[in-house]
Amino acid sequence: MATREAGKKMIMLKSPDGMEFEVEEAVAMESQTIRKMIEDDCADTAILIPNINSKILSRVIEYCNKHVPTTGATGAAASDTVAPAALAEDLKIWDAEFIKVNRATRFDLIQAASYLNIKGLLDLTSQTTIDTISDNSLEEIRSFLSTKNDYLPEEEQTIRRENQWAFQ
Amino acid sequence: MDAAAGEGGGGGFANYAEIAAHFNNLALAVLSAQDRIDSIVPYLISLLPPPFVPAPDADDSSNSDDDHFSLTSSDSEDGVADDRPAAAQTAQDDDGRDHISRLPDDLLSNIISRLPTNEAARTMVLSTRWRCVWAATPLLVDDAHLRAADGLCELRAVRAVSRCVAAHPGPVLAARVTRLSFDQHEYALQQLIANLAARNIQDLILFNRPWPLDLPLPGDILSCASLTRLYIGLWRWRFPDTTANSPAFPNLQELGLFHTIIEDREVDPLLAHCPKLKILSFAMAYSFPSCLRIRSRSLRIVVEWLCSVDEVIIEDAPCLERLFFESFADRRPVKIVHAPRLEVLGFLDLQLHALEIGGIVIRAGMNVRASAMLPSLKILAVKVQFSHATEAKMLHTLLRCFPHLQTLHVMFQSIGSRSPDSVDRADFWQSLGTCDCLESHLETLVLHGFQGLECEQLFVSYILEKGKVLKTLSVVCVDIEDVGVEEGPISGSVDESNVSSGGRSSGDDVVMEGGLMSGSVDEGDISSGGSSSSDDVVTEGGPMSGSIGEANAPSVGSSGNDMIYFCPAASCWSFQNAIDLSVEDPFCVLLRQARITYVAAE
Repeated sequence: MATREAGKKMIMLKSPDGMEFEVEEAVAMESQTIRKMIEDDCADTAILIPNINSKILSRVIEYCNKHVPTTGATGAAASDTVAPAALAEDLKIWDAEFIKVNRATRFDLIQAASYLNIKGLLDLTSQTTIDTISDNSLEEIRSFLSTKNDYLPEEEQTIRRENQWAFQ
Repeated sequence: MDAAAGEGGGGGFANYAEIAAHFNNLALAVLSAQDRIDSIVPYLISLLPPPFVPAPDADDSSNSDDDHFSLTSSDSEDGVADDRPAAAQTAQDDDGRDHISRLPDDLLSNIISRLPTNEAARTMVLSTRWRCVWAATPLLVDDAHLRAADGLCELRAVRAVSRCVAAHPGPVLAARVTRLSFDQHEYALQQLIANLAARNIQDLILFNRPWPLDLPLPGDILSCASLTRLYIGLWRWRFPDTTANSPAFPNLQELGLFHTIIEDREVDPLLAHCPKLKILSFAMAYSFPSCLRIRSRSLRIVVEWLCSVDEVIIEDAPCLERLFFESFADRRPVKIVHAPRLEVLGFLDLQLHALEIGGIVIRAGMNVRASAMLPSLKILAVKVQFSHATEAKMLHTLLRCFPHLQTLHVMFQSIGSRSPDSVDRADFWQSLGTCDCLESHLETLVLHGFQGLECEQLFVSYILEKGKVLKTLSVVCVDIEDVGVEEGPISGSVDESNVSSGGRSSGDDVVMEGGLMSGSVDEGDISSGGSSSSDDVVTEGGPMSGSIGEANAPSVGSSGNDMIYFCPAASCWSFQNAIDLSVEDPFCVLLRQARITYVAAE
């Protein structure tokens, strides 16, 4: 713990648009994908994260920074005196604030969380999407998801009839 | 049933409140069997693994007349209201692109699998793409979602579950059926189970809503060979008395029999059909003639929860790591014959359970031979009435049975009357001497329901004194009402009779802010070989009950143990926590640590 300040290992993450982010190894390893790269020793200098632009990547790093296990983050004494329950509550509030983004960003975050394999972030982003479409009518959902109804009317009727249990 | 008879013609009721009051009185007077079971079922369901998606109405089912689901028709009746912030907000940041279709199918599947069963299925009419996504999404059926939409018609609800399983193009992963009554619908039930079996269901929770209690579980359940987890509730399960065939559940890892009737002789064949079973639980189950005998080479966790059995025998369980039981009413033997890897045991109630290890009945104060020891045991939860000398003595004997015990949870039982053989004499514990686990293994003592009675304090002092490697003393915070503490300063004290030798404690440095404390902090209590610089003891906030016996941990110098943590804890007991091997200690979670440092006196 004492050597932590000095001995912190840093990892360089690069987005395809050329931005570089230096993060603590522990933070980067919140992503199972990156963890695997590090453990397989394919990550000596910098890791290129394809398909995730710098704007999204910086948000992802922000998330990981907050969610990296806190033990020792502020020294043993301090973390020992904080109740885990309070910590979890704090994180929840932070998450709710974090996910207040527009749809495009949220879908980008879903994709990034999936690629980087960050379960917490994938849960958060997916669940938020569900919360917004649940209890809405199909038309509302279509409009929210910007999805075009490409069924012929009779096709849609058939599906509804065949799956009556879901529509009754 | 029995209550209905005489009470009928009581005259007119003026209003609803009177009617309600009348029925409440009825219920209090004679609880009919039906009512009783109706109150049990929600409890049983609370023990189950949590639903995939929270049910629309969290508590009980049937009378939820609902218009929950506005997805029903595409012409939205309620005209997109302003109280739909989600829909409103989206209008602004919509730049015309179809963002979500950029996501690959598996991510979309992942998203819709978080929806209630019926809403998830409805996404297939969004567009052709979504139809494909739904088709590839593993099905999670929860009758709580289907049931709500279906009003009160039982048969239609049963069929809806069946059809939903049969119609799904993709894999059928899990079904959770807790709200249907299958009485009179045996044919539909059989079809449902046949459907589930045909679709290789992996995870099944199947409850029958009574009445009757002994509805037979269809034999087709044995053809669900892909099951990895199975919970059944409120059935009569006649298990065929045959072990000749190949195992019916070759992949089953977790099996729960809740309020299910099973014969003793059926347990063995059942276990033989589950060669990979890791977790077996009985909750409020009935077995007859009533002896639960476990023989399994794969089981790692066994739970017997409030069952009506006379005897529990762990006969041969070479892989068993955890054994849990909770009992009521009658005293019964718990026999552990062969469980060489048992690590966690609880809740052993010294009033109710007569423990037998390796064929030897454990008696208070007996000489414990090696064959009556369980050296593998690490965590023990025990319910004790310290006011009874036999139980106190028995606890001490148990410590000798478990020479490598690391964590001891003591559940202090409230006592009605003080028994004549009360043990609040200081020399009682002193006379008992020490034992192996205190000398070299016991690191954590957790007190549950500590009330600060003298006999309880003497026990804690004893452990603090004799526990050479004790590192953590923990008190589980309880409800304030339970202990009847008033807000304000700390009450009670550890008596000063357990003074050992020299040393000094600067007890006035103990800081407790805003805490409600019942129990005791001993100030100026003298410990041997150390003055306690207790300014490290900081307990902030939360109401708690317990004691900080910071100064009376003696013989510090000799053990080289210069620090004991005082640590509030929260009880984390839950059925699902108990059977989760990743939860290290299912009985409590240590909250935060206040350091109590002993500075060796020079």
